[in-house]
Amino acid sequence: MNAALLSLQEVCFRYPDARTPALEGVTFDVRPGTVNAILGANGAGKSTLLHLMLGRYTPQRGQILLQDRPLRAHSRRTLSRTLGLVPQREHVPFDYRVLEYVLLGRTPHLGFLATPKRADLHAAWDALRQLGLESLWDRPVTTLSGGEHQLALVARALAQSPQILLLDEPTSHLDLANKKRVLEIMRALADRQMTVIYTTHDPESASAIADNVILMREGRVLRHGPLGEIFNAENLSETYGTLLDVAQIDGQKVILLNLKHDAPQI
Amino acid sequence: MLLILAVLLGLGASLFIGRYPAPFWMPPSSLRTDALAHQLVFNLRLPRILAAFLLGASLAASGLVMQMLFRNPLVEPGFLGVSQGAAFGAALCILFIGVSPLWIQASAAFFALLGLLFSYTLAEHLRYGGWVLRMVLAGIAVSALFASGVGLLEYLADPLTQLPEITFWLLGGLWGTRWQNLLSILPVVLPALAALFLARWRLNVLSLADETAFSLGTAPARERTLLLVLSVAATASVISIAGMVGWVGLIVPHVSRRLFSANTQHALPAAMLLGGLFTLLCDDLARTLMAGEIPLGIITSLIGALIFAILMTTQRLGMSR
Repeated sequence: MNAALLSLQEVCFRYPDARTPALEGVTFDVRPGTVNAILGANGAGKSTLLHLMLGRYTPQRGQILLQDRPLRAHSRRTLSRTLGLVPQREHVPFDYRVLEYVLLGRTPHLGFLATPKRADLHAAWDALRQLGLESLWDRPVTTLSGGEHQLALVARALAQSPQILLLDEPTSHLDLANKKRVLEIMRALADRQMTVIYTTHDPESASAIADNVILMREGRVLRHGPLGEIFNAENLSETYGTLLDVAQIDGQKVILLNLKHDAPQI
Repeated sequence: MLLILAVLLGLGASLFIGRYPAPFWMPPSSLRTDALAHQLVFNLRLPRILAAFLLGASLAASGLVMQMLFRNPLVEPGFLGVSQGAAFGAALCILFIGVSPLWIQASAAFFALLGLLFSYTLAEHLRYGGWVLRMVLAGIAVSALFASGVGLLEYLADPLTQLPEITFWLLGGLWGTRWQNLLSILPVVLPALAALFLARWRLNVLSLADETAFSLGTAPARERTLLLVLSVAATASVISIAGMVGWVGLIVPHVSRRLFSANTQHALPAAMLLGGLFTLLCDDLARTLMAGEIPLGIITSLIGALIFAILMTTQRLGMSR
């Protein structure tokens, strides 16, 4: 069994103006080369958790260890070379071309006032090719479809050549074909030793590719562990606060809305 | 490359454009034969031409930088209270100290920076919205405050002596520019422009959302503030000698992005050159077309607004809503 790449220990976090904490006592480990889904209803604290792992917020109590050292002990440059972020949705005010957009991912590898070199261009091309976006390279980002934009965001994070890829709701606004494509890519990246951590409120996106699942509700981790052990009707019903069933079809777990027992009386 | 050539050509030709000895064009040979022409070219036209170029380059560069930093293609360099602050400073000086150009310049620069300081302090205390929204809101409020102050001063001004001075200053122009004015702003403008130029790739990253900019290794708030101060310093300096010259900072960045690339790495140097060239040519028109001087701000606004309208109706603005 591998040692943890990223380790959260009793992490508590409260936003400056908030009365209640956003996260309380969050503890789990992430091992290298695995796909980890943070699953929970909207407002459960999933995105906050992602930003804490990114180092953007600092927990008030507890700690987050990256390769056995607290996040704060790493330099900003090291962090940005280790952790790549795919944001949920990005409004791009200017008409960057896809290649330039992906090239922005090379910034952590550039000097403070440097401009990209030939090697950076190659890295950006590689990232585009991995995701099958070469043909779009000179399209303005603003003209991409939702699925293509999502892939361009992944490509930009790959150009960063991180060890850990953090994705915030990567599939939430995609149609089925694009959702499948993005999930396949995430799985393929993990099979090539990338560590993938993503948030989702969609159990299907978790059960399709995740090795480990972290179930969250109201800022706490309810359960965490391998998909096979955790992903059952009882745990999911508790996570979402409503009755759910889980069925197994061809080895894949499928969630069913249980409408028989708790239908409101009208 | 072509652009640099065009700029050099424009700078050179402008030396010989003017209303002396005859309207529009002075043959280069008269530099040797006519002592007055020699005087005029080197003591009046040359500093003015350089100032026009610097003015345009600074406004365009600051406009582009602010559009990137605020992630909004409709921002221009004078907002954040800078332009109105400068106008207030100039009007105040005309009213209470006199029309000495250097005093007006100092007062305008001082109040321009004060405007920025007010906006920034106000933005810090707003309890609403993210960094960008707070700065925009604060800028609007402070600008309105100074604008009303300018209105009050205009009302108080002597309509025969002081009001025309104020009006002329508000319309913008470079007729009073001498070597001493130009030299007094160089120590601020040149380093600021150089620093912005060096940060041209960084600006791309800072135009993205906070979380992305952070994940790419930048310190978004701190770096944005630094670049903002640099571009405001450049703007305040050039406004202080030229008055309110509108539209250059808004329209040139758009044209530059359209012609070159949204990538600031290319768009920023292009905007500096284009802005300089545009303002230079406008200033040539301002001092040549009529026997009297046409305020530069009127010409840049006229041409700038025309270009803007054409861009808006013919193509996408290089932005998405």
